[in-house]
Amino acid sequence: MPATGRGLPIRKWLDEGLCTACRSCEIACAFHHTSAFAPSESSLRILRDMNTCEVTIELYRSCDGCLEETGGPLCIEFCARDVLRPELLRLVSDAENGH
Amino acid sequence: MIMRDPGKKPRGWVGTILRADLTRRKTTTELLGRYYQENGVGGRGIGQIVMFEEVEPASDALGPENKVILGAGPLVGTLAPTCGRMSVETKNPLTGGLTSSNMGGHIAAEMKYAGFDAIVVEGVASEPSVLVIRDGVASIESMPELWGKTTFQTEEALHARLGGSGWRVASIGPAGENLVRGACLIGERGRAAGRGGSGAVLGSKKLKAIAVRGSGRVQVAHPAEFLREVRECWAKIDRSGKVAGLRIGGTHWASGAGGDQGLRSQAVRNYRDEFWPAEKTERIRQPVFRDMFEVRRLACFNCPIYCSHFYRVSSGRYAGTACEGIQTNTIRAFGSNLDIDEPSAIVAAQELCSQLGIDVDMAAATVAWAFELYERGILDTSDTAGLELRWGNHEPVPVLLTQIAYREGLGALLADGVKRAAQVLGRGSERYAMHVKGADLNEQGMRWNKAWAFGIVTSSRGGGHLDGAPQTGFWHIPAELGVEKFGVPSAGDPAAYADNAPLVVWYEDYKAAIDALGACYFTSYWEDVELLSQHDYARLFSLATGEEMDGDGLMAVGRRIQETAKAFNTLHAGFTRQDDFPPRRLLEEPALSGAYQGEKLDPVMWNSMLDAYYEAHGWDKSTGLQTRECLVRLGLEGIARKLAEHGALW
Repeated sequence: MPATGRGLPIRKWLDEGLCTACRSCEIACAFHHTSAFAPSESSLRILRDMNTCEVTIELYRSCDGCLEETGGPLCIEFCARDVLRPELLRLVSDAENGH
Repeated sequence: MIMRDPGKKPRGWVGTILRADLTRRKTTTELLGRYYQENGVGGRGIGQIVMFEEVEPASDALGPENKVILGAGPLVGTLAPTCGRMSVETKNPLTGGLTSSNMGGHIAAEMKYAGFDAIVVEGVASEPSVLVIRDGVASIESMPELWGKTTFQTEEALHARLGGSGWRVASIGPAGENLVRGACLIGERGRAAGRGGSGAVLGSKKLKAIAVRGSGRVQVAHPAEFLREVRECWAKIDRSGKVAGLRIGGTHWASGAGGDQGLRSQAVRNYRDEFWPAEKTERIRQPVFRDMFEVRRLACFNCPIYCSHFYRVSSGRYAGTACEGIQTNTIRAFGSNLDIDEPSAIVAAQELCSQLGIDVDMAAATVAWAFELYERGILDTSDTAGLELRWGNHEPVPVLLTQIAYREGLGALLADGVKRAAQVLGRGSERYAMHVKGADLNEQGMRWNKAWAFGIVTSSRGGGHLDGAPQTGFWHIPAELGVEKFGVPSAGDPAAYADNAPLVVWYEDYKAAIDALGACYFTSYWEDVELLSQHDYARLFSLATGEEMDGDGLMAVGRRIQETAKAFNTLHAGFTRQDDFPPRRLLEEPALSGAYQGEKLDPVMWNSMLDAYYEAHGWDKSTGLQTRECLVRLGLEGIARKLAEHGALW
């Protein structure tokens, strides 16, 4: 299900320094939903504060945990930082379980 | 490349070019047709075609006839790794030739999501303006209140006015407004289309910034296969030892990488030497910066390398300084080449260049030239308004950078680059002006690594390592690998002169093709021959666009780009063989100390390399001019015709 009109985020997480704000997860997620690359249709949004350099990860209701992806959630697969993947997985799993 | 079914919707490309006519205050769109797709592919390729065909040779780089082309190639915005580069083409106010510069960050992908593969900026606005683009709609909006602001302030003001940080902004600073010939375009505070003076050209057009927001899609022709290929590329990147190094320190790792013996030489004191003592090198190495200043790692759009570091200085003279974008060129520019080993001063100089919108390489060469003239007594305190430009003294650097940006004091002289500055000043200062074709120089290891130097000097943008200059000599790759990858057994030998020409030409073609696609060199053979080859990139292109192309075809795209740049330079700047020589200092003054003491470039061998280089391109050896045969072979009859009309075809 595309995330168009995605509403308010169901999870927000202020990252302490692991995320590089590359947004690969964002477009990988959009690809899962649409077979195209469109951040506006992603269930994730990565926001960087240009002054403080803080990064916020937002998760939207359209996240389905990539249940039909054989390799697991695409956002995790295309996260370049080993240290961040477990955190992302926790975020996505929470959403999948409806928490 | 075989174009099939011209009526179908574009894939990879989004299919539209935006034209912003500042004089008429009007924006129009046109379809990105087969002509551009076939001949230019994207990014730099399309930008150069527009520049060659639409800007006449007599045009002033800072006049209304010049244009600036922003390009986002067919892979930009997709999940192909690092494909978020924006290409910037314009007539270079330093060289009079073509410049192709390149910026990371997120703005190129945003251009695609907003519906544009390329933006052509032309004319001159009647007052300071911003090009605002949202989802296929563009407007030129007067914002005189932004004139005079730094790039950081400009971005902040535009975010406040337009509605948040989802807007991607590229802007010029005071240097661009004041037509500093090395002024650049700064994106998202820490990304620069550094080389080539695009900031000055935009300043002459009174275009302060471009702000983009898009919510559209980039579609690919074969989604499942594309994803599979992306996974293959991702795996190669993860396996690369070079990438592991870049992930830790960016290219900053190269500063001091040669150990105590200085085996990886640097420009030292305006290139008078190439060795910097270990006690100084140790103070500016990346781990020092990490421990003292690092706030977090950052990446450009969809980049698994995250080579960028956000630094903040929390104490001392430069407390409060905070910026991104420090790589090895910054360390050389404000470190070894000025003999400065104070890390916080280097961070401060980088931040100031980003705020003011000055190319770090241009700043480096001009400031180092001024320092050397002062040390030699050619300049004194009456010229510098009391500034003591002594090697190692970091205090005058921020003052000089600011003077350059505002064309005040000594900065008024330096703002036009070292070539023009030396011509104006005289007093024998030309000897110390480090430039190629008028483009200021800030490079490592040019005396000992011959292929590297050759690629820098023959670069179509005037002088720089981002065209043909190979790094294979730094890595000492084995002969058999050199043969396998490039057909050049000596590719790993920095001292070799023989066979450098085909190696440089190979990299010219390959890197120009990468510029057309919109990828970053850091995932390519430029960093590691285990990374993405021309065949990998061609597969990504074919699966994204649905147009079949193999690795050889992609290399031919790169060659056409090189030949287009060469023809532009011949017509606009009149470059000849004489312009393909390095600065005299590198030919005549040997390195003073360190592992390469006594090393310099040999003019006789340089001539031999040039012969081989022209031969590899199919150019005339005596003049360096292109021949009809070399152009027709590449399908560039139109370029041959225009050169012939101007009597510039051999």
